[in-house]
Amino acid sequence: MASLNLRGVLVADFTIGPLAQAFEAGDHGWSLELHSTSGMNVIAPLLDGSSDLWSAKADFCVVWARPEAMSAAFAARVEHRPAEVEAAIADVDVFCDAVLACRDRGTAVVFVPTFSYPSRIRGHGPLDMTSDRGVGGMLLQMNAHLAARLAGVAGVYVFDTQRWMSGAEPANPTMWYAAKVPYAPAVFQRAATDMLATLRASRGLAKKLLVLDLDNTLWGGVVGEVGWEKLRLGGHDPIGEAYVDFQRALKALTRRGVVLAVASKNDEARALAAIKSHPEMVLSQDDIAAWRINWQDKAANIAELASELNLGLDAVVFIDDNPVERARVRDALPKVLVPEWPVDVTRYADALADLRCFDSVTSSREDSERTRMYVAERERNRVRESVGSVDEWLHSLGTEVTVRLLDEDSFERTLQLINKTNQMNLRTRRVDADELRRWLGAEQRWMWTFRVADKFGDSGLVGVASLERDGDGGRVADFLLSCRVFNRHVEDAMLGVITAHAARVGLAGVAAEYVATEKNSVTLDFLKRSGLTAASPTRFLWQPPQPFTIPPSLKLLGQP
Amino acid sequence: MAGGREQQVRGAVQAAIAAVNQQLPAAKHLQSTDDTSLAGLDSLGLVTLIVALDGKLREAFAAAPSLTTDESFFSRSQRPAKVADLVARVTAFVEAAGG
Repeated sequence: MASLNLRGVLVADFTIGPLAQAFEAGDHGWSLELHSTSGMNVIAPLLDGSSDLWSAKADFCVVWARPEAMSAAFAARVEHRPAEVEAAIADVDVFCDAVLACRDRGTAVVFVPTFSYPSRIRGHGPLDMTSDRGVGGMLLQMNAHLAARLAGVAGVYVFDTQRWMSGAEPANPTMWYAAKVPYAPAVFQRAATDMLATLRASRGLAKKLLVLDLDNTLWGGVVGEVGWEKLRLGGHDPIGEAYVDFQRALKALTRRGVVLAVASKNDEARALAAIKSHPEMVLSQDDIAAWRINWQDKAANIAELASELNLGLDAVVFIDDNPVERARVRDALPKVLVPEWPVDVTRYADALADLRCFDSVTSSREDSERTRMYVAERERNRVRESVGSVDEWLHSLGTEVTVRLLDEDSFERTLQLINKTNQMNLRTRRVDADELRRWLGAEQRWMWTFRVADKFGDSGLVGVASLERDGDGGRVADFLLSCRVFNRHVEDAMLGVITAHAARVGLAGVAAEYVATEKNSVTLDFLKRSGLTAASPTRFLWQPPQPFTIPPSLKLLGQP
Repeated sequence: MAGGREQQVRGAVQAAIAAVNQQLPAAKHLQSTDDTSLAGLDSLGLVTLIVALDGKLREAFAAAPSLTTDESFFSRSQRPAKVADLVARVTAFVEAAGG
């Protein structure tokens, strides 16, 4: 993983040192500079902008409060003194205002664990979940309000503390009385794991492709030996049911935007027949974006799959029941994440759930339909191989590009594309929601979104371009396009939209300044053949009245 | 008999250090050899070690006294300087309590 220096601020009303230790012990390869404060309450340090904590911009902040320290109403309820839920909700509002102040100070990511209290507090026994008397009932409403207040606030993530506590050994009361540590070490370790995964996701480092073995991974048995009819999958069989549950979990992942592929040493026809014919298969061929089912080296097959799907190896996870295959792939492809995998199939679904690498900080329609888009791409390529020329193929697709000035409906997807597109990306500018809104708020700046559809399906919003006035001329601020639609002249159409707009508003010219990264050389290749004038190896210019026509193989829709 | 008790305490100290190390980044791991200094432990680290050791002693001795009743174990100024000192003091503490 790329080395990063991150500054983190940990604010708690208990000793937060164990969380700092868990962050430092995490498997991230980052350099963490952690500052922590543990006081009577969290509000004061969050609001005190002159504190050393905020002397530099924090990349992330954890705000972890105990409800009895944060809310006088809750503390009263614990002691069975009169306390209204409304008062506790008002306390939560004060807390949320302080969290937002921290966020507004420029902290990129803020983590807020929900309020929890020790299980030794039984509250009001059987009446504990009532809102007028119970401790649990009040806490439930406080947490619901906390989640609702902070929902949708860019960069603020509320985590369920109770989930970290579930199954962990109980907190040692001595650690509370001697050191003011309220949770067991496992709670802090789980919290750090979730938060680190979110930091990875917010930097576009979430894994995108899951490559799976077949025999004894997706189903029980070796299909080449027993045939698909005798595989252990579903039925009145605990092992078969476990495989079905694992497949269900995989299918759910695809709805979150994770792409599935298969790398299996098998006879392709037999394996595909099993996928197609077994009545208890949850996954279908349409859930699998690509496969390599042959007798070749799996590492080579995985590298091919990543290349076919235009993804880097650092976006790939490989799951195989066979430890020898896992070791081989780890050795040959160190960028691929190869988790240890349980021998017991009844643990497969849990092992998958334990992987945090697919955690994402955004969710869009394009995410949920990503696999379908790859399957459509497979069909396009099939047609491409069957027709004569590239131009003929492009015409046969009937591609439509819909361009719109950025609007609120497209904001989240646009932000996601800006922060995760690596290959066709002119400047690889990364921004958070607030930064993007501020940028858009200035005069003489324009940002367009591009949706692409063809006869095989809708690829969704896949391109973003933006232009800003720079003196008499204009400067391309963003020019990025999903790898799924490379080389179909969409990039030419995007350039056409930018230059047409520049001409319309009277700009003397447009400059596109290429900023090289490890992954975006394809952008430079495009610029060189785009028709722009190369003023230097990385600076490309357009000047009126140089015409940019929309390529005839596609239709441009919408109103730029 | 006393030597056997010291060995049990030593085992408990080693197990406690291993438990504490699970919570620490590798660069901060403690060794469990006799001459390992405990001076670098911050107050949280010291409390964590003593609480972990308290649990291990309870596993080793049927009627182990709790180290948490002796506040000198938590004191930065009175803390054992090395692992060997910790073993000796805890052994004496256990013997004094008849454990």
